[in-house]
Amino acid sequence: MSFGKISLSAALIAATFGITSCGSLNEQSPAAGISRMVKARIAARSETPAPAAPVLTRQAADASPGAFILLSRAGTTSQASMVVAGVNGNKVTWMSADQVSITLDNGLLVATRGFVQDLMASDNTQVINALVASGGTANRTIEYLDGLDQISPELLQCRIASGGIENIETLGKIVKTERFDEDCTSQKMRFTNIYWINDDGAIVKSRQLVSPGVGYVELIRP
Amino acid sequence: MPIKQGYAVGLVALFSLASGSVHAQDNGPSHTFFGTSDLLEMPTAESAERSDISATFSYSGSGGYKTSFSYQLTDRLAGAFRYAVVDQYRIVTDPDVNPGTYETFDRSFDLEYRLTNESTYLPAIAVGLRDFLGTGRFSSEYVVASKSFGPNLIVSTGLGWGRMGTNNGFSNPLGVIDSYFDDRPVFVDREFADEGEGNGGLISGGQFFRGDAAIFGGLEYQISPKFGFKAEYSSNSYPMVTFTPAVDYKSPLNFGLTYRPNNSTELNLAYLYGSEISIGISSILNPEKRPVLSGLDSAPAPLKVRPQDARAATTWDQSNEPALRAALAQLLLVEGITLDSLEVSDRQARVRYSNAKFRSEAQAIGRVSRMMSQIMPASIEIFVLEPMQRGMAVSATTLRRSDLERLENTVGASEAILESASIGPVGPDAGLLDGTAASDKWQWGIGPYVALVLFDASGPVKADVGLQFDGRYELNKNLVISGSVTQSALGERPGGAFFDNPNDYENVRTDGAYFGRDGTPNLQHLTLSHYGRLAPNVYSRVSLGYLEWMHGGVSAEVLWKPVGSRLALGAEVNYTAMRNRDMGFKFDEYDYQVATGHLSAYYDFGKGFQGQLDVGRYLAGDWGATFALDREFQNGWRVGGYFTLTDMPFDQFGEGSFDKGIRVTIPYDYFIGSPTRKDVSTTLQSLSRDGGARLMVDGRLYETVRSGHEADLTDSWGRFWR
Repeated sequence: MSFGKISLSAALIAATFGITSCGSLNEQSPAAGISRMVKARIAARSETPAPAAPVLTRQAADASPGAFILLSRAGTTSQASMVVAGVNGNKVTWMSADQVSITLDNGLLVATRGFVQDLMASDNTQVINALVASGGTANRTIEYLDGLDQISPELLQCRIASGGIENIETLGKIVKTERFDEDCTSQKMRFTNIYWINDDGAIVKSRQLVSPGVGYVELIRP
Repeated sequence: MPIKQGYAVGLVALFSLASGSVHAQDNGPSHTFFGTSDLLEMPTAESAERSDISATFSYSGSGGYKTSFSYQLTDRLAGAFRYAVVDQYRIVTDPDVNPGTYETFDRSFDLEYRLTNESTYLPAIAVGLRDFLGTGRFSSEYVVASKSFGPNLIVSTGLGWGRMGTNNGFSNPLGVIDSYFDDRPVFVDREFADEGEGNGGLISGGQFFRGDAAIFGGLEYQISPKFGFKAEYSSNSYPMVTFTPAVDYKSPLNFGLTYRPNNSTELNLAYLYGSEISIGISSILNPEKRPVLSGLDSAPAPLKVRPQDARAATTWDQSNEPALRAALAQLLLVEGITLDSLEVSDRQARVRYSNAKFRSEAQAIGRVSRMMSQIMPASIEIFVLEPMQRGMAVSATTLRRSDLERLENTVGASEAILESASIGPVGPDAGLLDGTAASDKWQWGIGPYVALVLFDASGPVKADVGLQFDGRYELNKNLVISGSVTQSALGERPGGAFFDNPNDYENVRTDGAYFGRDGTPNLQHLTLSHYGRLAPNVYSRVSLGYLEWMHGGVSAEVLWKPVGSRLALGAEVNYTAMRNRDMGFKFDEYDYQVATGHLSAYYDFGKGFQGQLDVGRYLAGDWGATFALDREFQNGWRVGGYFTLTDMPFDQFGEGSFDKGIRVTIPYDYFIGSPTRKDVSTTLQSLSRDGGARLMVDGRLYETVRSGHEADLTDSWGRFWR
């Protein structure tokens, strides 16, 4: 085999892979999908905050009360502002510009969509009752979608207790709140959600579990 | 066991998942150099985790290369398939004189079944066959017991026959039952068989558990979560016998170290038979454990709920229908779904659409119904969704809008909406008005390809890389022209097969090694195809043109498949000619025309098992039947096997005796997370030969139609609300 032929083949191979797949039939190519997946993984692990796309200001929040919610992954500082995309009874679905949605029932997380492991649904009635009673216990069921596309329910036993008065900051404003910790356990998991409730009885800030694979999110109602 | 996916940020300390594992060792048994979940070369009674699929590559100086795939089919049953490149002895005439060795390529299959589980006092017991098909280079049978002592130590001992009965072998204890077991007949090997004998590939049942037996044993100790130690006393002494692996043997003792950095990778290093170092690398996948968890799909638009008072409406202004239809087409496009047609009455909307995005048709149904809720007038209470495949509507799912409104984001919603939905046959074409979305009639794509070429003249495995051009033009929704051309970057390459096995039949597959080797563009396929519905449960396909890389002509198929039926029946007739080796447009090189066809039965056994039986005529003109059984996972994975028996005599078929193989289908979204209908399929054939060869036509009806039918819909119904 001649040397020239080898290098020609090598050049052709290089040229072949240098070309990114294109055309309408290749929109779902694995290469494009993998690059999205890698980006998603980097985003999930990133220690440095990614810039939040539309930055919500205090003025904007004051101008339209109740129109926004700030979402961040626990342990990161990047925030996404979310707006109302749908209302079904007490359940309000908020959506961010990057196509992630969360559904809240009186501030409690009942569902998420667009996370790598979504909370498909959660039954929060007893938690609300316990919060109204300033503490107590709650049985609740949460649902995930497992790797085989089956709904996987998890039965939780939760204990809700006051953590005392705390002044917290929500988008530059200091708010006096009472903190409640909800300790939940099941056969497979254990986690603690935290709710900060203002004088009007509204959850203005919370740290709530989405799923084992996603972890906690922090929600702020400015 | 902590979560290992790495998604959890700042959570590890607070959060734990019970492993649910029953193994004494948290990370289960490690792999042998044969790719099975055992010791180093000897078996144990341990099993891998259910559904584990592993690929193992191993090497040692005299033991050669082995590439093995193993699959834990059920909790107790495991199978393995292996390619080995080993040096074997030539014909031994004098047991004291080494006749020399030469390199051979060998394929082998294993099976192991765990008879009992380990209990407090009793060990687990398993029985297994190694290399029970094929040429029998490693043929062994064994019974083995394993018992754990504490969380980190497992000790195993067993009795082996065949190759595993060669070290200090003693007369077979089964001889007590019957003298049949006393002697093991010599396996008739192809390479020194008389004419018409010993082509390999047959079950060597006449040998099982016969002849001398020997004892083996060993232990595996887990030093730390990542490191393990293994030691064994092998009962295979690799004696110098004609056509057996020429392993350098000095001692029956083997020692090894195992390193498992994560759940999917394993490295093995061992000192084998007192003579040499061996290395092994295993990669482990489990279809049940999706690395991207539930996927990276973006959030759907939430349901738009009608105000209570608006639900009472019984009519709406139907003069707005064209605007409604146009708006729905736009909304569905947001989800990557193409509206085909719509019928609306005062109380009901029926929609036909093509979902080219979501693997789960149930997820597409969930998304379409939420988009319908955005704009459908409040009086419309019933949504009927008819997904289409290749221009044919395949089923109709009827949903009550008030159920959607009531169940959204509630616990148990997935099951509840399935219960209240009805899944049935499609409605009539009459009444449907065409959607106005401007779908692209012309689609194309260019991208690189990588293909593995097995057993061509230059070696057992070679890679081919190049560019691929795909094009597709829709004449109407049932009639499509599609084509694919590849250009290899490797240029002109010599053709020719690795094996030379002449037979009296046309080389309908074995000449594949000559196809597409001249460095010019290769026309992979160019077809005109028509899909239609002949009766409510009967579908049809006609394909015409360059149907596949080696054959072209016409192919026609009908399929009977009711939406809710476990059984489907099909018939296919093809008339094809063999294409030229340059994979251009001509058919004049071979002058081989053949009429082929099959009657097929497909049956969904439930619990993920899908069977298929095809009876008919194959490409070489041989008559016979193909039996296939696949384990199908709800997330799109499939692992299965098939075999084909035809009237082509085994000695005409050549090595392997008859066609058989293992096949795996992996959905892309399992790895990449974002929704796609694409998947990748691989068949590991022991050898691709001329007997039992079928025409490879794209888009056979059963696979086309089934995704919209009840069984497949309910399998992935968990995605409805996602």
